[in-house]
Amino acid sequence: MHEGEPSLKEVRNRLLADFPMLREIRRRRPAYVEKLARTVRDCAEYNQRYAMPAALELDRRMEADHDYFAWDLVRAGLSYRFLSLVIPSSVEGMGGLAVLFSLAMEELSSACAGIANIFGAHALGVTPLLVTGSITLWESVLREIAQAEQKGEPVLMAAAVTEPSAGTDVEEPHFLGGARLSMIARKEPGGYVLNGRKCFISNGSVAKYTVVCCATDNDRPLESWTAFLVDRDMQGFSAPRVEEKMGQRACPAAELLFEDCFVPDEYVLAFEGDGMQPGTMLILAASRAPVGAIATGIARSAYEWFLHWAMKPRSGGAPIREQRVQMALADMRTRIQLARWAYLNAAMSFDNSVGKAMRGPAMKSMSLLPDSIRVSGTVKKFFQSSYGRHLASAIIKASTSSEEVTRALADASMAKAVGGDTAMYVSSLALELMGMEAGEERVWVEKCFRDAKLTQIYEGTNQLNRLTLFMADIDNSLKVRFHGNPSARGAVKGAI
Amino acid sequence: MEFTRDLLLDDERRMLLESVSSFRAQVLDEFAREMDERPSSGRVEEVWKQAGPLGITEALLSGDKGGQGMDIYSFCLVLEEVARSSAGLSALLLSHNLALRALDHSGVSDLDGVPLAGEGWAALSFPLKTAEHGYRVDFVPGGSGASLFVFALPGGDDLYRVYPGDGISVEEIIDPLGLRAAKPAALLVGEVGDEMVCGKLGEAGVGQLEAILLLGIGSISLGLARQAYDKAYAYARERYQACDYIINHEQIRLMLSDMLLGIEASGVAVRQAAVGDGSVSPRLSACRAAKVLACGRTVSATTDGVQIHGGYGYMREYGMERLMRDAKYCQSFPRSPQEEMLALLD
Repeated sequence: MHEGEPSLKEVRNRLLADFPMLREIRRRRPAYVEKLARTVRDCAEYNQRYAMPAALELDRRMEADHDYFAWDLVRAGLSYRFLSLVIPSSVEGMGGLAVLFSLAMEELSSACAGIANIFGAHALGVTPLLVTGSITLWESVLREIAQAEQKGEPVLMAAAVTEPSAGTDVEEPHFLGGARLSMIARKEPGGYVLNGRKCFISNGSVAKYTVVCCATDNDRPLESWTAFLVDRDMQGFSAPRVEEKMGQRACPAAELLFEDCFVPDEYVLAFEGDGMQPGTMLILAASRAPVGAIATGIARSAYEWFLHWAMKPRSGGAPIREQRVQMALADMRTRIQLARWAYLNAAMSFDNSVGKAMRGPAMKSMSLLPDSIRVSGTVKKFFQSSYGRHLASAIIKASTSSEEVTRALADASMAKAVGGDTAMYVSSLALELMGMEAGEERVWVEKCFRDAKLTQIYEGTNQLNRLTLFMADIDNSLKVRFHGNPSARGAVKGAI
Repeated sequence: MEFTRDLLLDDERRMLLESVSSFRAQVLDEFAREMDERPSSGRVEEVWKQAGPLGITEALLSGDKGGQGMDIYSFCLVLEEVARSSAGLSALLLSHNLALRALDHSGVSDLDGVPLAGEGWAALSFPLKTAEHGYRVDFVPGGSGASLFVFALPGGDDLYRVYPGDGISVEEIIDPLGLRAAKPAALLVGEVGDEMVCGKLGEAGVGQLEAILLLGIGSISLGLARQAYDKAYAYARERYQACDYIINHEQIRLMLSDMLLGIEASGVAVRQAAVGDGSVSPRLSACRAAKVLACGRTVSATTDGVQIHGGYGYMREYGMERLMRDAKYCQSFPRSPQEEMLALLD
């Protein structure tokens, strides 16, 4: 441990103070909480050694040269296994789920949300392979990522959903039917041919594998929405442009172009038509809590820098002596804590529903098989076959009720919107109170302000997240109120 | 749409606005992004030079000294209009014009060495704060590249006229969040000697300068909010999402309406303060109130403007994020809104 780096005990105590819920969990599952604390400590160490010293310079550099990518910072994260945090242990990953990953995201974002989002967008790419139970791709792609990581070679993933004319529409099943889609996958013998564009794809220009969601029939997008795994070496795939963003610059947002890009059948996740429901819904249930955590990390960073500024002695006295600064700090602290609890609650909601299925006995039994059998041609063929894929998909579905998924998505959407609003509120108020006084703290808070705005936009705008929350809540509460009377439920939903 | 904007527009002001709008369309819109992203590229100086023949660089200098002798109301309209393309350039105009007005009103007859007609700029440095060794101004629009600095000491009414190197040190502010095209700098003033005093502003003059500064920033904010509204409104009419054009979604309509309400309320406050009570100078308290209101509402309007644009709003290419960054700087310049609000009760 280097001088000034937090000890495991310090981090554990901080976690237990910030999340009283974990105290209770620790009594029953001490090893689990210890694993969370170790991960957060790793992130804190990474921040001190690599992210903090590089963040501001990297931000400036990428403003001038947005095609640059800090591979050195990704490589520095490999020894902490940041690319394997959510990869199942059966394929040599760290076996974490939403809780572990969210805590890591808050910690990493408290230094630099852009750097954190490189790892966040990577996990977003891994998630579809997990929630669709694509066992053969776990064996090939996820194991490749985990093994390469242990050799010091970064293999990044990304997820591509947004299209130039469809952002909100491709994240909500109610709207997909009316979406103006530009991307299409056409069935050909042995696979699909993809054509069109995706935009604003985090890690899109640097990922080896990208999960791409699109319709196979744009007249029936909801029914034909499908997730494909695209290797960057596939012919017809390119990332022609990287956007110039206001913030979170360390993580490139790219436009992806597909020109007769052939994707073989075995690179289809689950089945044609499974892309939105359950596909995208499960992915968002998994990913929105970590986005809430990224936002919470930004808010925390702004708060900590503001506090540092306020405590600095001045000729007229430190600003912290002013009542307005004290009240603002109390308000910021309150909102950060509420955002924190919201994302942890949502992450737990996911881990206890979909996560439970991925950890269930059937999936776990896979890891008990010896490697020689698991990767053997027969087993591989079985899981590539329609029967095998149905079985894996059925295991996930059978272990999770639709009410649980809906609840997890609602909680995640709530956490995401609360987090984004908190990040904007805290960084904006801090800047207001600091006036025009220059200094290191101001530079960091300005970066937080720029970074924060994106958390209200990506992973569905906060407006869409609120709508998702409402729809999910209504759906579940109507089921309770009108249980056994579907026509009454339909009437109420129709009125909305 | 703005209900109150046309109320006091006579022919002369209309013509003035037309010429500024045409300058925006022909020059400023093309270079605004470059001036923000690379303020040291020389483009700011080039555009400044082109603004010279319009007379807006000497708007507040009296006619007998070669200026336009423009009234405050008209000057605010100019700042607002320029800010729609570049709030940074508008802040530079404000700083330079206030420096000229300060010299003019403190009885300085010799304008030798004062940059005029687009050939460089002077910078009003306000407010000076006591520092460890002398005084400090945290943010001076035009501070970087100014050929002349003008200031009064805290609590004093003597006007100081200082050239770079004359016992002052200018620290360029690197990559500020907003108002980059203003080429801002921090100013450190060490020893000040009597030889630097060039005139006397008087207590009323100091207050007047502050009032116009606040009103000017309020006007720049108003321009930013109007631009954000116009862009967001146009985008909402084009963008089709969730089974309809987003202009037809209640959430978006409410955001746009809120932007419009903010513009209206700020517009009334700023214009009322600019007109004043018929006396020569605007009232400081009215300008302070207008500034706080306009800047606060503009931060909200520009942030919502980015939100309505979704991912596109966050990308530099679409120009929305610049409005948000500039608005945030206007809010805290020259002091935090909380300090201004506390001063309202004084």
